Amino acid sequence: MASAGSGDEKAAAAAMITLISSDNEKFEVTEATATLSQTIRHMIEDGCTDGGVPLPNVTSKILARVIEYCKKHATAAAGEEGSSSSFSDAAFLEVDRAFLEELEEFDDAFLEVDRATLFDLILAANYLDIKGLLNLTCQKVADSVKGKTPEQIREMYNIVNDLTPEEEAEIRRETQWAFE
Amino acid sequence: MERRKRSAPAGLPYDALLEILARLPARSVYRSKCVAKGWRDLVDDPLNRKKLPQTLEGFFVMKPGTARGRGVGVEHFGFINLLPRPVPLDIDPCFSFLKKLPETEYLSFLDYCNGLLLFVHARKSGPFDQSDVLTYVVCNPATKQWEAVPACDCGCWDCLEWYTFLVFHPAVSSHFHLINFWREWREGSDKEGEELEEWPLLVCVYSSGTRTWSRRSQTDWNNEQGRLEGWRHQGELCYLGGDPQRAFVNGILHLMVWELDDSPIVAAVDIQGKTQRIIKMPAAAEGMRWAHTHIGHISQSQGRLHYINFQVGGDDDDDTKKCDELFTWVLKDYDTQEWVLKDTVSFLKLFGENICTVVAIHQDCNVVFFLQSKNQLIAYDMDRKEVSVVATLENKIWRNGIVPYVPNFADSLVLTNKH
Repeated sequence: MASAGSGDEKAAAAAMITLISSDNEKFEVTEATATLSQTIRHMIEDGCTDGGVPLPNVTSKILARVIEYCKKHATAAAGEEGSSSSFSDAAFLEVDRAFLEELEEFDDAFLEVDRATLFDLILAANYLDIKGLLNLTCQKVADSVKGKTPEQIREMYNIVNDLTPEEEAEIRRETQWAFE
Repeated sequence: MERRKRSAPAGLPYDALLEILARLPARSVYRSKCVAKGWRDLVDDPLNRKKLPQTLEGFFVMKPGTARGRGVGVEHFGFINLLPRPVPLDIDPCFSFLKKLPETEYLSFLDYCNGLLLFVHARKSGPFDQSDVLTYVVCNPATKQWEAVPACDCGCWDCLEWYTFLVFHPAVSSHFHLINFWREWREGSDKEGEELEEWPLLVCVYSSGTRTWSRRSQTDWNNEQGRLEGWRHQGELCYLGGDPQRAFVNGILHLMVWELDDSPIVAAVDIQGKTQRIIKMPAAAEGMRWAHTHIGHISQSQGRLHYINFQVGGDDDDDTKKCDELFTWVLKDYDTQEWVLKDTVSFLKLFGENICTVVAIHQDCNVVFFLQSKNQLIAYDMDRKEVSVVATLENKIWRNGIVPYVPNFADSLVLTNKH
């Protein structure tokens, strides 16, 4: 921006963005919260957020949860920004432990949802490009798959096995060690 | 598209499934190929290799007789492929992409960690001393990226004893560290009356984040940290066939060291070069007679520290040929230092009379690799109690001439040069 100055930056920090869910519900959030989403950050940079940001892939129920996550993590992101440009091991270690613990507790509670909601959150995190949320939700599914046999995974997620017996035998032969 | 819908869990798109698989250990990823076609194709797609965890693909081998200074010249590298089918890997075992480096003279191998290799770049002529060494080179053979690291100004290359380890933990950071231990050797220090304890191993660390070397400050040997660092005071690193025994487990470098009373221990050193803890070898191993030429081997497998050694039988003092039993321990609980005996097997039954050296443990399964008669690479599967010959080499090689390789396909912003 041509007229960028400290005054403008302050104004930007307080700026509000309207997010519109697929079922037409409107959510007002601060720019700091909204820009945890890379997708929205780019829209703001391109100056196309006037009149609200329509999110046709995200329902109000899921969007409310996503915003809850972003609000909590926006504070954490603000703290990290200073150190990210000059990576140092010491700074990395000196992050406030108490705050991290609180954030961890929040994340744990946040993940207490049914499977359908969890998948919807993954889809929303993927679409909105929110790294932390994508990591959190995918890790939860990964943990449920870890150590399971292919049969158990199919059963858990209602997947039809479309491999021929020959194809399956070939995979097992190639990576025998993974099946022991 | 129809197939994709059916085989993805509950309508998750494949890029989301990829994100999920990327967070699993290699063993789970490879096993999940059997779930459905879509899963198999996703894991096999070369485009996804950057994201998915990789497994042991093979070994770099270096012909002996090329050792100069501390390492082996890169001209003499070869590759043993472990995968059952020809790999679409465009790995260049000769590292010719590095030879196009300006003023390349002599690359000598030092260390490896999680897909990266560390070389010393030195002048071709003259004895190996500090003036010969130009830089360190850290490279990734899978992406053909590399980075030159200036030598530390501590003058350690002039010392008789120095070791440089490469530390790289891609799950946590794209940055690598070099941890350098050296023992100062001033003129006259070897004269009578000089105590060894005046010459502890010193530490300096290079971080690719700050692009600087930093030297760890003087250690006070009497406080709590000093006692942890005590192994540097009088200890030396354990070598097995010319290879320092070290394992990188969960972001921490583990070094097997001798102390003055001759009992090996493991020192756990963080990326700052600071000793975090001392791990004793399994209590059950104490009092056993270990083959003199086999100080034992430490390795990382399935996220845990492993320790392997050969027990010697009989009263015969000539223990070089009488390895009776092979023991494998796993450090089950890191905090309480609880070692559990994982496997024991008759050595004779496995290998006949020949003496073997442990090369590595497969990082994802219970398979140990041995070098036999200096030219055969053998795999021992603990679960099946089976032995198989992986490769017979044309030339005899030394234990330190064989390097397990798990590729890392992710493009790095830290390794700034690309061929």
